[in-house]
Amino acid sequence: MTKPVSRRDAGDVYRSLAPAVLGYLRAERAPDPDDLLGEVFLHVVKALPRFRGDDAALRRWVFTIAHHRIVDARRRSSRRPRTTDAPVPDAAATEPAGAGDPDLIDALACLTAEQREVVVLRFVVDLPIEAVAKMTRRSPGAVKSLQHRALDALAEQLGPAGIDGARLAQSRTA
Amino acid sequence: MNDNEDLTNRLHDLGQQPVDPAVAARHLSAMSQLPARRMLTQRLRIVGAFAVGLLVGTTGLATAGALPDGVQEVAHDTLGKVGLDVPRGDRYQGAECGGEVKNHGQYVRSQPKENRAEAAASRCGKPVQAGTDNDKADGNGCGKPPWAGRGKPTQAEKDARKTACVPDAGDADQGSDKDAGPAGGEAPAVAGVPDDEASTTTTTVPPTTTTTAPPTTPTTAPPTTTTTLGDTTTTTADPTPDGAP
Repeated sequence: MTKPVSRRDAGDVYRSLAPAVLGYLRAERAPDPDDLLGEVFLHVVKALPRFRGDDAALRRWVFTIAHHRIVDARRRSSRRPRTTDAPVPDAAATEPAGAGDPDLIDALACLTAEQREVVVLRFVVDLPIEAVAKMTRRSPGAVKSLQHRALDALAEQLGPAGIDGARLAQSRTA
Repeated sequence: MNDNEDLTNRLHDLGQQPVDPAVAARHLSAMSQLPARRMLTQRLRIVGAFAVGLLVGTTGLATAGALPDGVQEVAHDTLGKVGLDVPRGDRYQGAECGGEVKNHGQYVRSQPKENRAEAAASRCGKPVQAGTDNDKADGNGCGKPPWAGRGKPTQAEKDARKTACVPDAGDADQGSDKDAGPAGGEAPAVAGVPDDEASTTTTTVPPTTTTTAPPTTPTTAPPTTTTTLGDTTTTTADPTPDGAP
């Protein structure tokens, strides 16, 4: 019998899972990932008293909510395109500091939706194959196959320079 | 394989980048301000109270016989099984129905085949507010005719109609059935006059002249004063009021 996660633990859940959820939202190119992150955790807090399960189940559950919020946000933005009175900047917008790995995010955008979903859940969210299979309603074999093709496509998109560049960036930060 | 390891590491790092502290603080504050959800027991209590209220209300209405007929019948059957006496739906249960009937169909089926046409035309088992067929037959061609659904008339009924609708024995063109009035001794629209004649014959009464007499002025005798002085009685008329002709 697993104990329910109490309301008091909502902050802990946020602190432990928010970075992964934000990475997931960015990798899925969700509109306004910071706002969407808040929305995800508001839903989590609302439904937390009814949740029963262990940490792995909690992780799966939170990312299922995040997935639903992304779908809703995309639907919303397609129905009501945002308008703004702000002037158009002359220079191309630069990624905000700490916005992740822009090359990788661009490369992920080139994958098919199924490939991206599997590769993000598998490596960004760090879920095991069985959990990804359950969440995406596919067999573990199908997940493995999609993952393999997605990684190949990503490697092709980024090229040796992209991967080397990333290595360089990692060594600099280290 | 090495490339894939690098890729997976980059992907993994994407999920490890911390949230901006300002953004995190905003989110945590919004999460803490969220109103507490009602617990399951509270919800169950609300749902239970609602169900009990609904049950009591429905039973009360059923006991008062205030539900629609169909629902009242169901309530009668259902609550009767648990020992609650609830009236049936308001259906016509006249003496001619020969006891209590559940509905009109049951009444018609309970009759012998040769009487079913008549039974179908009766009100037995119908909702009281359904009215009668005769209500619809307004004499202007609207609704069913009063004799509809009563089966083929017997010779005796035909004869009865003839005698009921013929005003004078000498009237030759009143013999056909279609001109006959409704069976069952209902009175025609104009007593003693056949329908077609009643609609076409008009009696003109010559206009009467009214003579109006000119207004008469009532003549009033002036009041008199009688004075008695010894043996002499004097009668004096009152003077005419001022302005009088």
